Amino acid sequence: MTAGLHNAARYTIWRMASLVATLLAVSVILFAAVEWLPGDPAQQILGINATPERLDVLREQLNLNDPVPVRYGHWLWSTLQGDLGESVRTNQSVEAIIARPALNTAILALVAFATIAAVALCLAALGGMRDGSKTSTVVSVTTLSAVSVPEFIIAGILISVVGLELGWLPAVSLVPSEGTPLSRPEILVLPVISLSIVGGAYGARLIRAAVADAARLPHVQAARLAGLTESRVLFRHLLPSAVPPSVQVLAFMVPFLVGGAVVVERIFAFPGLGSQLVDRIALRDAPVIEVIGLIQAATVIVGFQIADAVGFLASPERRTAG
Amino acid sequence: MFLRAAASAGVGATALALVGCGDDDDDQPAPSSAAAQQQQEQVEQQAASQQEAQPQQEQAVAEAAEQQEQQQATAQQQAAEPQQEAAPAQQEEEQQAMVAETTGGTLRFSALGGSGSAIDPRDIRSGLAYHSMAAAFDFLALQGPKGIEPGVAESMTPNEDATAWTIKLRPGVRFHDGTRLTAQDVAFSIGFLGDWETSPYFAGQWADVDYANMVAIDDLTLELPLLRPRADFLDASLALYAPIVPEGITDLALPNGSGPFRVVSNDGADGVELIRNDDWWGEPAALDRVITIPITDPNARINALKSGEIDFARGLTPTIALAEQDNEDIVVERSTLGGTALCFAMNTSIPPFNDARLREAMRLAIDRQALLGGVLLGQGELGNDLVGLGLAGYHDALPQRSRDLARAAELFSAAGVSELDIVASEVVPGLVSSAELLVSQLAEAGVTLTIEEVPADAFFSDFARVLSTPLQTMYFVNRPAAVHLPTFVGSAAVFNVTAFATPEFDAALNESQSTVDDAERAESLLRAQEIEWNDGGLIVWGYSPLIMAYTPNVTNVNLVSDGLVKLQDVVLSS
Repeated sequence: MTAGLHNAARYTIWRMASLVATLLAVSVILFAAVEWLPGDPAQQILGINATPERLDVLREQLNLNDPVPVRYGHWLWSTLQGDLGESVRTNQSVEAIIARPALNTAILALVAFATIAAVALCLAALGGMRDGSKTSTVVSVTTLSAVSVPEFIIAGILISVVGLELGWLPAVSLVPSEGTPLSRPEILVLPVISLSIVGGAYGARLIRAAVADAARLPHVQAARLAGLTESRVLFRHLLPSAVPPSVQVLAFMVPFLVGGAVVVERIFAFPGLGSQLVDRIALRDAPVIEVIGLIQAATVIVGFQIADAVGFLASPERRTAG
Repeated sequence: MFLRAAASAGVGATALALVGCGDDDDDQPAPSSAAAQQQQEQVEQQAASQQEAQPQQEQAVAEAAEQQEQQQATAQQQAAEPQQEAAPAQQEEEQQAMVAETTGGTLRFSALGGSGSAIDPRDIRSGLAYHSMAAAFDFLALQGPKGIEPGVAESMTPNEDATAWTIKLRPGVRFHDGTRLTAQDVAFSIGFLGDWETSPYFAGQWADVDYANMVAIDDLTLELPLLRPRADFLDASLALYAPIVPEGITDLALPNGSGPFRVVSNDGADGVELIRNDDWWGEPAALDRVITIPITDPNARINALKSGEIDFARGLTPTIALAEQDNEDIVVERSTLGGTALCFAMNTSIPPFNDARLREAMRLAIDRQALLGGVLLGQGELGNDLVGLGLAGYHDALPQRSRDLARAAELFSAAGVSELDIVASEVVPGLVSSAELLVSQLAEAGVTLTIEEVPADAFFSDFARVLSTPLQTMYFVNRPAAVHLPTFVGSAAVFNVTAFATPEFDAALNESQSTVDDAERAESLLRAQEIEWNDGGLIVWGYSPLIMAYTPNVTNVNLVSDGLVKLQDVVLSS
């Protein structure tokens, strides 16, 4: 028990340290990436009035003449002190710019994640319980077809058919100006379906393999031979064995959601973090890009950390190894 | 032009495109616009006098004021027409019911936007932000399709040598908080817009103002001295982009304007909610409320309209317009007001296009009609290498250029050119396609053209590259020549992508700005355009219209010349 706790503590500290180190690396890469983009905010702000003299003055005002490492250092120091800075384009605080989009995206992503998990687990159970059955084949073909179609095509079809032809749901996802997506939950349906078809099918294919492996375990086969009902076999014997790999697969859905949300938000005009990131990259608005990029990176890293933690907890050997 | 860059590419340089304005009418070429005609008639009547300019300018604004009152009365009459038919015979309740059907309501208006929270006249970066701002603030005057439309200025008059202008304000104008709009507010606003540090987009427009000597003579009169004679100052500045803010304004999220609507909420992304200002000096708006909604993607914008999420979508593509033209559930409108000139820009200062023969060869090798059909799907107008088509001052007496492949091949051969490169970027829809079509068109003249494509969001980020590229795709918002030329051509223009600047052109342009006599000034402007047309580096092959769509219950959609929809005019029937 003591060894187990000690290992868990060491594991947690190691993971936290690696999280911080990864985020630092990501912040350096993001800063460098924005630097490498052609042009700078001063040119964008001045537009056609960008004479060399005015550019120099504005660059000085925006501290753009400082060496990149110096600017990165300033930014990092301010960020560590809780000051995320201001947009170089609008002088708004970064917190104010990203607060609502972050909330909108969080709601979309959580709903999509829950849907993906439900879809993936149901399909995986259906397809994995009896490998080689007709049901398994149908699930396999269906999920393969679904993962082959990019989400923007699925989104386009849903908009055309469900949104415009049938008129059942909004074709765009406009969030009320003083509300959240939950004020009009119907606007979440099509974006969530767009993400869930691909994500759910992809997850189902991976989890199905874990379920199929679990179905071949001796205690599961013994339960079947003992004449237990299929549902009892599934819930008491099969699924518990498939949980750790399934959680890890679902954790892999986090980066999918981060990337997919950017595309889906754009298509549905959903005012989320992904849309905001695209806009700010075009504006070369480094402080906002940095923070959004870090939020997305942290989300992905935390997703993987959770997956690893689940794997750690599910592995008695690793938990107790000295 | 930069406004469109932001529209399509996210580049923030949007504001100047918005302020491009002029006089235009689809059915009526610019030189015959009402105000221009009135001014010319006055010049003839007062030919012997030295007092022409002053009364002309004053009269132009004053007569425009009368016209506006008439237009408002007409609009009101049109809105009330159903009642008038019913009223004599029917009861008063029916009349009131009809009024309720044609007035009030909430208009959900969408355009490109989404990156700003302030409604700051100095920092307009998207079409949506422009509309939100223009609903909340008044302008001194605006360039309408038929001439100058007065705002809070009752008259704007130059002195004899156009080194000073006197602005007289309409009495009784109040900001939304009830304070009076005075000459001090106008002086503050001009300084507000003219500050290079806080208003880099618009400061150039006010660069000739002698701020130190600007003085409010009384509450309603401002004396505006200039650093050099600017007889064109009404068209080029005062009626171009002059929103008036209260002196010392600080809150730009929910600003205190004096416009036809008052901002009551702000979503932090260019979208605002506005309610009608019943105390506005003009005819109060028909709408109760306007909600401006940012949608970046034009496809999402039309989908939002078709699914009933919005009532009005501004800024759509020719492809969308073609696809929806038979859709009876929406109205698709194409307007030359706020349209875009699509071009190829040759840099005249560096090889190979410093060779005039090569520029001439390019002009003759290009099949403008084929570009219009292929790129704009036939929805546009043919260009003749000048910006300002259909607007005041446009040189429409020049012959339309057409293709002469044999002559072009001769000139290419004489210049010793068989290979060229072009930088193409989709900063507005169709520019890359235009370069691709150009490849085949030049091939017919024996020239191999190679395309280097630059991502749209990176194109305007590197101005040094743009200004030193020999041949590239380019676009300009269609603005009057008097506004376009000083900004983009000549030795004083900072963003001169063709680097065209000859002493003859500069002299003609300078005369077109400083000459007090209207006719002579107009003549100088025509001369400047002709010089550019003959020797310059711009090939304007076509004009893309501003495309809008709205639901059939939206009526009375009026635009000013830069494509601004006058939300105060819009009627939404139930």
